[in-house]
Amino acid sequence: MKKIVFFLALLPAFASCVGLEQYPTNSYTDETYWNYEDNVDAALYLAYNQCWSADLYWVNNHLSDDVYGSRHSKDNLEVATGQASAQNSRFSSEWNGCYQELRTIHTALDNLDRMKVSNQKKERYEAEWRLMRAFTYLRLITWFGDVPFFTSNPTNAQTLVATRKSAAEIRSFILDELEFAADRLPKNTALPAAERGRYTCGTAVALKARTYLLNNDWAGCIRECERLIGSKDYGTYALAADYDELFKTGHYGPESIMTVEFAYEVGVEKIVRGWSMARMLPQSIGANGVMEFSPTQELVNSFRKTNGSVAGDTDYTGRDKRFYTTIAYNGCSVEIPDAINAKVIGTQGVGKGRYTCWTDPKQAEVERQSDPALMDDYNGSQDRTATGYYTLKNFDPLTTGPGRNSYKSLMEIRYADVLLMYAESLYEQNGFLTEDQWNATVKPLRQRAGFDADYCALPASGVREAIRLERRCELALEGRRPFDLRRWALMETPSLAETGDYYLVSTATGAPFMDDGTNIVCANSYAIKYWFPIPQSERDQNNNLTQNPGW
Amino acid sequence: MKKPINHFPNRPLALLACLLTVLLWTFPASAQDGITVSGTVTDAAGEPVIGASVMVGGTTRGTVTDIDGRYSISGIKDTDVLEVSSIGFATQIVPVRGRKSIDVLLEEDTTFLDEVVVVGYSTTSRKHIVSSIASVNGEVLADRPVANVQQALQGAAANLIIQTGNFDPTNSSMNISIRGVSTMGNNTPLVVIDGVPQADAGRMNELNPSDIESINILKDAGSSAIYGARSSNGVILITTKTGKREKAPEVRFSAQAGVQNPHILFQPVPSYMNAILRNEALSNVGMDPVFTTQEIEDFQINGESVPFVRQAMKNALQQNYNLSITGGTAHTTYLISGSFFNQNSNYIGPKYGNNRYNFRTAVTTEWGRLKVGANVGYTRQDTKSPLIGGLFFADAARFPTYWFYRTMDENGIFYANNYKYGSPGAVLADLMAGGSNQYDNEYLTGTLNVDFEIIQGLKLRAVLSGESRNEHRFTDKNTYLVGTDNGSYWSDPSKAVLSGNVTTPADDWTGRSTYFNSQVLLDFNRTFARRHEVSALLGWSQESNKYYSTGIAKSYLNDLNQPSSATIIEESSHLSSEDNSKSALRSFFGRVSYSFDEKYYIELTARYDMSSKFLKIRNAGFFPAVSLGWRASDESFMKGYKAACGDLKLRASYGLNGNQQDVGLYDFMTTYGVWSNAYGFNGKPVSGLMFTMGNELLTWEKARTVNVGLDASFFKSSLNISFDWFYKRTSDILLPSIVTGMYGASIAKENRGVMDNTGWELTLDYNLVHDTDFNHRFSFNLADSRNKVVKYGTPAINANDGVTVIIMEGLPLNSYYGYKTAGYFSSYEEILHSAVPTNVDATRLAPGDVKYVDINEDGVIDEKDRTYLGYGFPRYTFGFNYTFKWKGIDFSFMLQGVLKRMNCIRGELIEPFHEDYGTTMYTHQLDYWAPDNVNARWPRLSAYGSVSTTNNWKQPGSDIYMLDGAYMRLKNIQVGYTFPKEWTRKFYCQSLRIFFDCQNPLTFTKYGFVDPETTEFGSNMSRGGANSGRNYPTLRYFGGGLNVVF
Repeated sequence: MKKIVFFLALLPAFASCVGLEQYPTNSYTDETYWNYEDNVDAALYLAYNQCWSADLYWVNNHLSDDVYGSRHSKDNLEVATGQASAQNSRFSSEWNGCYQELRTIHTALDNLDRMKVSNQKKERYEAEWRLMRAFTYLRLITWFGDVPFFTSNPTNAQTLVATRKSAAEIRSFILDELEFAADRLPKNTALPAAERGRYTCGTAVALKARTYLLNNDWAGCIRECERLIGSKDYGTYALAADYDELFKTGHYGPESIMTVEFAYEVGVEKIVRGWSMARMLPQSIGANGVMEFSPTQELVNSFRKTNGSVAGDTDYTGRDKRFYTTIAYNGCSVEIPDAINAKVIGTQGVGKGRYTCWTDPKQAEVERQSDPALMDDYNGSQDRTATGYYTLKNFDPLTTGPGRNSYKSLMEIRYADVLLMYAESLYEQNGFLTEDQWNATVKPLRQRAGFDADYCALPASGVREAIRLERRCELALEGRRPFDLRRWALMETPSLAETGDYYLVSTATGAPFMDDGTNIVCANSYAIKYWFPIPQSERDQNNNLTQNPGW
Repeated sequence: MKKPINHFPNRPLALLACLLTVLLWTFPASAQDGITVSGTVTDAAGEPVIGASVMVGGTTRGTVTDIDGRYSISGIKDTDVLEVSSIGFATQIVPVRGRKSIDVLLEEDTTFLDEVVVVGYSTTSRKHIVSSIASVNGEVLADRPVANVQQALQGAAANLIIQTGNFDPTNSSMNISIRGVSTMGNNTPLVVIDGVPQADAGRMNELNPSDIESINILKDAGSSAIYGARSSNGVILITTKTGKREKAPEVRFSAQAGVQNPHILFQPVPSYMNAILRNEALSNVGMDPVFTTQEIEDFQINGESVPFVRQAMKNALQQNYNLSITGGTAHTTYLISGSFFNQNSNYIGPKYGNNRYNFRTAVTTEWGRLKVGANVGYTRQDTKSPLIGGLFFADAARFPTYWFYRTMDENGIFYANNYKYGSPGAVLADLMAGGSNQYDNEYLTGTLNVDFEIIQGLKLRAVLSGESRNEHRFTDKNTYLVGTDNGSYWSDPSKAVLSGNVTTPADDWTGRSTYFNSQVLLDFNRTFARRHEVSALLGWSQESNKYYSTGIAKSYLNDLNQPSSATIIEESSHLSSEDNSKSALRSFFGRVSYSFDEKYYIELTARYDMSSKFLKIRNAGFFPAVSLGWRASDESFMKGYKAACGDLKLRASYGLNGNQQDVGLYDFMTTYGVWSNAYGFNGKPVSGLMFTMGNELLTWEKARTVNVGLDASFFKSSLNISFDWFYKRTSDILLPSIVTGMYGASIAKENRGVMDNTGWELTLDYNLVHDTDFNHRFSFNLADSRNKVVKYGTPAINANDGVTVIIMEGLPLNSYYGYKTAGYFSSYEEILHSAVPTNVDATRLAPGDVKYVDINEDGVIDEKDRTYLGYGFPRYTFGFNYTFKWKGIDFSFMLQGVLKRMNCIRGELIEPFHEDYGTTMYTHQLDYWAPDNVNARWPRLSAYGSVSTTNNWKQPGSDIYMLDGAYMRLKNIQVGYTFPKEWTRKFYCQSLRIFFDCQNPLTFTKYGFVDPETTEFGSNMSRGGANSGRNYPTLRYFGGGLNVVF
């Protein structure tokens, strides 16, 4: 009897059904994640996701004299006008974004041995991860100089005592890594259509050229450019025939070297990963909200008449073709074809049609008599242009949906940039360009821009200025301008890197739409310091981090 | 195959076990010379008293009665006395005087001190309690027209604070805490039902309130530490009813029904007046009026429509029926009960509401020293709730009552109503035709108990319990037609457009969880030498949880929710492999208590918990506590006091409790998943990795509590007073990890916060029985708690719609924070000489606009002038319960309230014409500043977008939005009549009572336009948004019922 009772009493001890060591069965752990090829792919794609973004592609332009930001781009505005402190979140978001990407990449690289994929695939993936790591370190050393450096994931404790490694050492690491990638990645011509947007050996070489250029290292830059210009060993690249098409449908053509990619899901007919021009475009073609991106009159003025002469402020006819692709100005019109979700475009919601943008308030007042819905004119409010200009570059109605959301690729590096890097490096190294060198680099860009033959030829003087102007126009609003200004300022004042002083000190203006005929003076008085500071929050936690000069 | 447990995992438990063993061995078992005395112990009803202790006075010798109430004791001398005692009975001292057979009649001791109190894994009498435990008798819950147990518990015990977000029966969110806020995480106490710990406090609402025998609330560490890692927020022990031995079957039936009346507390001003006020607001700031005199006349002539918010609500029926059968034979007891509860929603629309069905059966039987029991409960809950957003009430409340405003026409077409200004909206469309969530949930719980008495005083007890929970939801979203707004009185029904959920989706969701708990307990209870009372408990418990859910969602279904070729399966559909979890908790626990002469008490408890929520090497926690007690009134020098007043006991406890509610199941490890559309190639989406960094250092939150208490009784125990003071420090509170940016990821949680919480509680119980005809009793409780953030890091300021709260070291958790106002400007001169907000142009302000306090005196009002404005958690909470009986008549009422609380209310109930989508003013806003009303409550009227509005209303978190939230509410009032027995017996009915009752009939508060009881804060003072005061309204219930016993 007693035994039975005792047994009954102890029965519960054996009846329990869940042990004390539990692992999730609705998600993966370190042990299980890498066993699946799809998951390895996903790790690569997250690295792509964090590597570069449409946001930064656009936002970096705020740190130049090409665009005026509104108070809604407050953080960048503070940086551009010298008001920022080391607490400004532009700095910490740049810093954090880079290290987040590094964690993603190192999470993959630290687990290479665990991945159950073919060696061939693993080799290509490794090369891509290491290319993206190099790209990320290049971002870091460009903005911050010396930075903490890791080649595998640190613990938080390690980051609390990490010190800054010299930018020069990191740069040589970057170059080695890119060379590693250049040796292993496929050429652009070998990519199947489904892989359009993946990084290639050409991407690696172009990034090497950029790395040298950002360091004003002409010989290195020339060497890398020549691997792409003179040879097909690292892919086949060429200028697209039509500049305008290049920013609509040409992003996978032979000019494209590195892109940021987006996605559209067929079936549900939905943009599932996109970027938005809602705060850049004229309202007449569907923009809404606070305008954060108004091109300056200075940028407009850099687009010359096709005979090479400087145009009057509001003389918008007969200019460099690139102007019409890049900027929406008073009186310009935009054709909206029958496109996805086209019906949301336009103030009347009618979609398909031709829309004219009136930014001059006086003219808009007249035009409104016939169409009361017109509302693109400058009126000083935050949801209109601050300068009298809107942005058009990269607006492709065919790939744009509600909310001005687009899934069009954005080209971060294209062949025109390589030609211009090459031309500039040759000129700076030698002090001149030969006719052949000019004809192989700047001339085709000018020809494509529709300039008269005279203006396409090598000028007798002012070649440096010609190359720089060409960079500004050709690459306008593509995020290159802030870095070019920094480089050029450093060439003039080599002490900038040591003092961290302001390098861009000027004022932005808008179109001459004021009652008295003067230009709209935007509030931007640029005063940009050479370095980004090490974010304050980072230094608060880690006493070993020194601050950059100028902060 | 499980490994048997073959060792004690740590030292303290081993010590406990040793102590227990030693106590067993020291028991003197030698027989002595003398006679053998035997007899039967019975109670007043003639039923045997089982387990009564029969001791030889002045010795440690004794026995207990068997199941027939019989005892036999040898070695008795003539001069000996027998002391016969049992819990619930007055101790009898019987001289032997040579008798061999002594039958003893025990009289029930109903004094307060001998009331049975359920404690962790055991029971005791109140006399023995040296920690802080509040008891709520099941009677308090019975016959209350409440929807659930939590509602009934409001105000029932000191510092048991129950707050509600709203009164919506199908979407009520109550939060419950004991002694206020002591962690930045979840403050919800552990709920234990019939010895089985529950996963969340809401589970108590699945019970039938009539099935509850008692609720005991363990407040301090001394009483709660035996529940270890889950006990730091206190423990609520709920015990259900069982049958009684040797009782003929008793059938009880009760029925109650009544009407729930939604009490909307605010009223729009008449529409013509609204138009005038609107014009005044505009012209005050130099803008053009929008309403013409003709329009105003038109409004005045044509009268008013019913406010939408009133159109949306109706009176609703609530009914409740209970049937129970209890009884027992000499060895067996049984209880069978069933109930049906129905509460209709007050929303108009397709029959929203709740139904709950409960069934319970409890059986015990004894066989010698073996006792076996089973208790099975079944609950079914059906709920149908509308698919309306959280802003439904706010939206419905903000419309003026223009005579032409209407909801729907005879063709079922809804109307948008936004005459002149405001946002369009067919406000009631979603409620009436947008679809519904329908839940049908079933819960089955079962417990099996086996008790075996190994030797006298030592019992082995095994408990096996399980629970199966099946929850199912069907969501059906529909479309409806809305007329096109055309700016005139009526929106145009001829151009009605299809609105609502145009993809006509529906989805099914099914969740299933199983819970298993096994416990083995050794219980020892003896008194030695009359004065040394020893009890000890040693236990082992293992709990396991398993959960999974599945879901399927389809779109483009027809109105019968049947598919067609256009139908698609939505991405949110998931398999059980995508949503499942398992967790386990293994525990050892024990208690040793010793009292000397019922004067000096010491009690040690401890629990050792091992949880699957932590990394294996640190998955264990040890939670000890000690309690001391001293019955001062029994000291010889207090004889006078004892005679004059009664009992006086001082007690103190100190201990450590844990909290693991905020720890996720796998928070200690890094987990990986995949998210779609992370990137694209060639324009096609691809998925990306996502990882959640675990923190393998995670451990329990720990609370250390000191409790000092005093229990005193007066007037022959008619009045009992209990006072407790506590101080609690909670450390290792889970907060978001602070990591460097270069770490490159965030870690969700780490143990780093520290908080203090201190307070007191006072309870008075008065019970006066004059004679059988007349008695009355009351209980009163008053309590307070104050918390303070001790360690947090950089202050966190959280602004929702202008109402700002802050977590800052030195302040209570999530205090209201913002600008202090200093009344209204009385002159332009004053404006010129005052600091104004930096975003305000002082030259455009006028008398009647808000003046702010320039706290740092730097001449401007900016962020630096923000300060602590008050606290939203109730202080000085009280409850008062009064019952009066005279002959057949009974009368009772209950008051509950809060003496100090700030309530920050935003939106158009405060700010007239809020953001221009508030389109009406309310009657309570009419006391606004005007040259002839300079002592107004509110500033002068101003239009949205004006400098004055920015100044007066748009300074985030200014105290203009602060209301005094103190209140007292008559929660319940009941009058009953029991018919004379002589009369009812004719109908074979032992007792028949009818009653009428009323819930929430009266509320005393300073601001009548918001319900002071509702809160936007969760149990840790977090919130989803700021309180706009526009919630599902307070429900007033009027009804009655009857109780019959056969």
